[in-house]
Formats: sequence, C-alpha cells, structure tokens
Amino acid sequence: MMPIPVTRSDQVFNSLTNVDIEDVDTAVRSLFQLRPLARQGKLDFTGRVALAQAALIAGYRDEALAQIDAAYRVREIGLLPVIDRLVMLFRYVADRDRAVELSRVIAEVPGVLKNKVPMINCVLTALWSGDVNYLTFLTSIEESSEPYAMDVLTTLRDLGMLEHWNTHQQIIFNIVKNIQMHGEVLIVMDDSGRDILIHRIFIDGTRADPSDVEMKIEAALDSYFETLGSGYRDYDLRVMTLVSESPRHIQAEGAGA
Amino acid sequence: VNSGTDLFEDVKSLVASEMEEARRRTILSRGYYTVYHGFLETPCGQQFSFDKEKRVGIHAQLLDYLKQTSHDQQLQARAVLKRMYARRILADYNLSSTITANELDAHLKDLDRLFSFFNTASNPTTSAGPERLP
Repeated sequence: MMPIPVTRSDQVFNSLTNVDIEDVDTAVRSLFQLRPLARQGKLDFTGRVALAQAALIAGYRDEALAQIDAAYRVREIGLLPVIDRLVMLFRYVADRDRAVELSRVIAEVPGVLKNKVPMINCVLTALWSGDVNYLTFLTSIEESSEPYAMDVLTTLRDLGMLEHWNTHQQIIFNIVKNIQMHGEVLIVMDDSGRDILIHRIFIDGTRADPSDVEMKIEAALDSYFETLGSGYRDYDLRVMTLVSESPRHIQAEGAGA
Repeated sequence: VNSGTDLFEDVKSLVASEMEEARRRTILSRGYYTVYHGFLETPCGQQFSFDKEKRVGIHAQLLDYLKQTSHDQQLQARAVLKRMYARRILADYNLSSTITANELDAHLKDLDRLFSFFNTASNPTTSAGPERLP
C-alpha cells in the first residue's frame, strides 16, 4: 500500500533515527512520504535532512546530495539533533569541510557533548576527517570516565600516524568525494589484539568500479608514504572494503524525484 | 577438508537466496579463510613462513609478504585478499556494523576472482594470465 504523505517532516525524521543502512523499506517509505512535500516547496530543514538520508539509503546519491545542499543552506543551528544527523550525512558523501564545520558548531555548544551520542558523532567526524587538532580539542572537553576521543588519539599515536593522518584522509577524499555514498573509519582489534583501521566505503556503482577506486587509493597512499621513507604498514592503516551501491528499489522511482 | 578448493565449494553451498545477517557473517569469514589457504597453496604462498618473533599476526605478515613483488597480478590479488580480510574482521569482531547484501556479493565475486588467480598461478606454463584480475 502506498504510504500516506506526511504533513510534519519530524515524524519521518524520527522514524529514521538509528535506521539501518540496509533498511531500504523504511528508506523508500520515507521517500514516498517526503517527496510530495519537496515538490510543493514545503520541506523544512528537518524534512530535507530526512529526505537526504532516505535517498542515500535507497541508493539515490544525486537526490540525496541536492537535499543535503538545500538543508545546509536553510540549517537551523538550534536543532542540534538535526544538525548532528546532517554532519553524519556529510561524512557519508565525503564532504569533509562541511562535516567538520557543523560538527564544531555542535562541539562548541556548552554541555552538549556531555551527551554520549553527539560526542561519539563528533569523535567519528574528527577521526574520519583526519582533523587531529579537532580530535585533540575533543579530548579536552570529554568526560575522563568515557574517553572516546582519547582512545582514538592514542590509537593514531600508537600507529605513528598523528602527523600524517590528515594527509592520509585527504588523499582518500580526493578520490572518493564525487562517488561516495557511505563511508566510515572503524578502529577494530585484529586477531593478534592490535588495533587496526578499517575503511568501509560504499560508492555509487553507476559512476565507478570499486576495484579501480581501491587501486587508485592504494597507489596514491603508497606514493605519499614511500616518499617520506617512513616505516609505515598499510595493513595497520587502511584495510579497506569498497562496495558498489546503486538504486536498490526501483519502486521508489514511482514516487517521482 | 584438504585444501582451499574444498573450502571454496563449502562456502558456495552456504549461499542461499534469503539469509539472515548471521549467515552473511559466516560466509564472509569462511570465504576469507578459503582464499587465505588458497594463497598458501600457490607456488608463491608456499614460500611464506610465519615469524613468531614479530609483533604482528599471521594475516598481516602474509599481506606484508605478498607486497614484496613488482608483479602486477600478485599486487592486485593481494589487494583483493586485503579487502576480504577487512570484511572478515568486521564480520567476526564488529557486530555493530550491519553486513549488507552488497558486501556479501562483493565478497563472493572476490572469492571467484582469487580462485581464478590461483588457477593461473598454479599453472604458469599453460597461460601467462591476464594483465589484471577478472
């Protein structure tokens, strides 16, 4: 049955909280609900963020990007949960500058980062963006009992990456910025108990081949580190999984973009 | 089970049209070990030895070892092995990340790619092999 278009976009926004990246059914239902409002020019900041998130999960990168841009233009800084999710979307589409800009807006609101969710989001943004200064700033304001930023900083230091991490990430962004649909850097313990960094990148399968993108990233990073002559090991820093994504539910087309 | 090829057949048999995420994790994990053993059975892999004195594990050491070549095909195969390893680590250790159907598809394609490479690497006299992996 066709979902009923909504009059209040925050209902859809809330339904997308914690939505799984593979929950295409929820994403498509949200598209059906929000696209009519978008066509009528009645979509507010919250609705644009929700529509962008739904479009990205359903595999429509161009539509998501248009809504992310529009949301950024009409952003309401007071709506911190919506800003927080917009930061997440900027990370997904590899828009580093705006992700960090808005994340810092959240971080500078007194007391907000005492809440675990925005704090983790800020730490993830700092790690993913390669902004070690931002990460260091977060260590200065986090609760010592829950040292998310400090743990990440320590891992980068132990891997000998503090001074190179920014460049490392910039090299990756330069390659994926126009094709990424989901991206995250995860610190995961391997079989021998060492922390390694796993880059999980989903790209628009209609625009690029994952293997080609991966080889480009490998070559560019090898070139940078070999010039430095430092004893780095790519195993520690960029075990990657690149996956091709494309529109997954053709029925979503029925709602019209 | 005597070889990577035996595991290859088993992993293929795990694939069903509908599956829960737990099964996907199993396939990612077993798929990786299939190619890990497959690598060790190639002429190149047979020369690899694990150094217990090093601080890093056997999978990292194998990836380091495979990088010490100028052979394009081997480097491409190593890249495939490395990303299959990444998926296996996520599947086994990171339960908070959803393993998607597309990741599973990519893993199975990589599995086929590497077994094509193993066949070429094990029979170097029958074919020079393609310039890049299929």
